[in-house]
Amino acid sequence: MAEPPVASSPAAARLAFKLIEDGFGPVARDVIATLIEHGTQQYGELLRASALSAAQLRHALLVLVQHNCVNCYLKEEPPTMRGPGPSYFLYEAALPNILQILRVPRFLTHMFDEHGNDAAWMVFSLIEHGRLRWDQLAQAVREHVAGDGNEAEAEHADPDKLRNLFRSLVMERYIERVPACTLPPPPQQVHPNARKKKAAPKPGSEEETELLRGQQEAGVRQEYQQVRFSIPVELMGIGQGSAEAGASVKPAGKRKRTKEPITGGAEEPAKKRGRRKAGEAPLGCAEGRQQDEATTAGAATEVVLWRANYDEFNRRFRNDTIIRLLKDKFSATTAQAVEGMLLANARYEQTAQPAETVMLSVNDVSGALQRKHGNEGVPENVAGVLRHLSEDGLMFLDSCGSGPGGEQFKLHMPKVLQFARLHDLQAAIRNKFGPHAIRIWRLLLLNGQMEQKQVAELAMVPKEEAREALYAMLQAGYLTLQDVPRTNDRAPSRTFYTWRASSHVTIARMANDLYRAAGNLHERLAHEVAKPKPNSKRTDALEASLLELDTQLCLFSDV
Amino acid sequence: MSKRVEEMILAACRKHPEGMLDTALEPELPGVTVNDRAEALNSLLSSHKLQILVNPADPHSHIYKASAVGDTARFKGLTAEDMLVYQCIQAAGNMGIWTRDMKQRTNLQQPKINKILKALEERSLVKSIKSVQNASRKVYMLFELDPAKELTGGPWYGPDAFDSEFITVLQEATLSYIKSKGDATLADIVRFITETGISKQALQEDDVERIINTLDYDGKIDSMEDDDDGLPHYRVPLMPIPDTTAFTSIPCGVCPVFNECVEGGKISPESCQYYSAWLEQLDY
Repeated sequence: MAEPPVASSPAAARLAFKLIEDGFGPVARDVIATLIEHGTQQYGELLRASALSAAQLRHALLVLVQHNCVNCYLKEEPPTMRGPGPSYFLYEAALPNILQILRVPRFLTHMFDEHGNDAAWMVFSLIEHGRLRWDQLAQAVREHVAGDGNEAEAEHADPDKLRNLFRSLVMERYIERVPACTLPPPPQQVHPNARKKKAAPKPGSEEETELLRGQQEAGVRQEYQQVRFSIPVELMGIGQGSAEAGASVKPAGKRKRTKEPITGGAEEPAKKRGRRKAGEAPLGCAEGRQQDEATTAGAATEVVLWRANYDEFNRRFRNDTIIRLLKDKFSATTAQAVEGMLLANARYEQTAQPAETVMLSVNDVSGALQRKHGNEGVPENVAGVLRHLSEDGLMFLDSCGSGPGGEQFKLHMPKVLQFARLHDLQAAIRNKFGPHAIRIWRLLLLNGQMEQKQVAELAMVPKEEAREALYAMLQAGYLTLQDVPRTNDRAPSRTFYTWRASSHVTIARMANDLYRAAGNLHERLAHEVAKPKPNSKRTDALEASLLELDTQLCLFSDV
Repeated sequence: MSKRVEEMILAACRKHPEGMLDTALEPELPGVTVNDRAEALNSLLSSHKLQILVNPADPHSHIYKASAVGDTARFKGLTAEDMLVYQCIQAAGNMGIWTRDMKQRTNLQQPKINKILKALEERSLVKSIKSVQNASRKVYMLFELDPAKELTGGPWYGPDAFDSEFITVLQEATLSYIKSKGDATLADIVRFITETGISKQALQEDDVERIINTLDYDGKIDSMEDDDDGLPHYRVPLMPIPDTTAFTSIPCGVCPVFNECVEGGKISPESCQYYSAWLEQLDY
């Protein structure tokens, strides 16, 4: 099963430019456009390519890094004969993060429904400011609550209550530590078809050094993953002051404690700081400077910056989609049992990108449901319900025999999500190209390649209508046409033309269309708002449509 | 003598309805000279009591075949060329034959063939049929034959063209039957269609299956194999395809010029007429 399409198409970039211009102005838009056009760049390269003044670029980058729209990495070149290699910072447009701006209202609604008003304000403050220290965040939440008209409540707001709320949000992974700007850039992704089998490098060779360097970098990245959701001791509210500086407490049963936790700020090794050129200062890493100040001042307290973890929100939305689909397709009890599987699997998940769940026993599932909903939330015969689902032809669930906790199962999330996408896609094809088109598309999907004549015959539609529907779908990229020449001259009269439908290709195309439509909708909304007398009814309708479209985008592109 | 030989030949040919060779005819006529046999054969051929055909087993030889009772009157007055065209059409069976193919097989000129075909049609010996596969081609077959399914398109074609209306009626009837019954097999649906008499033509199981498949492709029914009888069962889907989606509920989702739409272009989101109409609806 292929992964969902990555949000990196030109249509997605176009939408990202609009969102950045809306939020941070045209200069920030130019910086993002340059980064998207040229890829990951150093400051100097970016300065030349963007044609902005140094001050403008510097400020724009600062704002964009602060709002997590640009990622910053420290690239260390290998050492040479003359000494250690140079190191420099690389900047990369965080396109997936930028596109999440559209989803902010949904994040806040979700947070309000799940954890109440204060939690929604907390996430809102983090999204509004990009990244904040705990004390800054607490202050911002208090201000917001006061601005809400609850001044008395804000004044008497229990700091412990806020801290507990914050802690629970970190434990639930809604909030994460900001990665250090000294993390190495992510490894280059090679397409599976382009991967070459290489023999193991010889000891002492250049290849082996490269391999070891790669492993070392992966280790540094892994260190961040280990402390990503760990809470500093001072925020735990216990043994405050007595705990060792910089020590942190991991969420129970989730992560291992690291030996040397990476702070949310840019904590760099002293030797690196000394070697870096002035022009290559960790631009945009305000937290780095704060960290530096903190350490030079001799403060022993760890400075950690926090930000909202969009991935977790998307993971929750993905789970909601899966549960809703299973409820509609099978039954409420099946949906409940699968919800238990998703809850039990949460601790093993790193991202919202779905894969198979780990093997989960019936006891794991029942336990997870019991913890979330109490005894009433556990279906009577979980094993039977899951067994029945595993026997279904759709093969969403695999039975994996018996284990210590009873029967074990694995949920194949990509299959469920693919089914949900296909369901939406079919409705879109029917509405876009007509009822005959959906019949033809499904016919081709189920029966493989076919000639136009066969298509018309089997779909039982007049040849002219079949031809119109086929070519309309071909033009929109929802079908493909292959020519099979009988002679070398490829003369059309001696060539077979066969039609084919592929669910992956069509879903990718639909995702692209969704980004394009969202861009158009955003443009029209801006046009309506810019009118001398904007019609609130119209702008509201456009905004609501944009949010609905984003919900569909989430399914097609982000989970 | 001549009459007796003719009768002997006819009797021998009637014993072999598939036709017989000249060499096979000889032993059946003991004591008849070659000249007498030739004279009798010519007489029978000219009176259309006997047909001479190319031997299907060996195209270089000929066979003789006795004409059916009544054929003599029907073929009276037809020339050898007329008969050649007639036999060519007869050989094509219920698949019919195109005039250009006739030209190749008979080595006659096209105007001549057209003239012969006109004469044969007037005598109700042959008829012309329009093929659904090639609408511009007219094929000829014997008058008494029913055209093949491939030629007419089966029950889905009306006298002139594809009968979409009939298919829609059948689909609706099938769907309402499945809805009312909750769960139906192919045999149930065939029985229902036969009993209601929706179709004037008798529909076979594979015809009805094609109708059911279209409903399945439309997402209006679900097909699943039953564990008990191993047969496919049809039922209303638990998750029907939704009427609309977020994408298609906005003008962009169903826009015919979606791919040509560019900001600042002739077709642009700011000046989009579909958006204007859609937003105007909201004002009322």
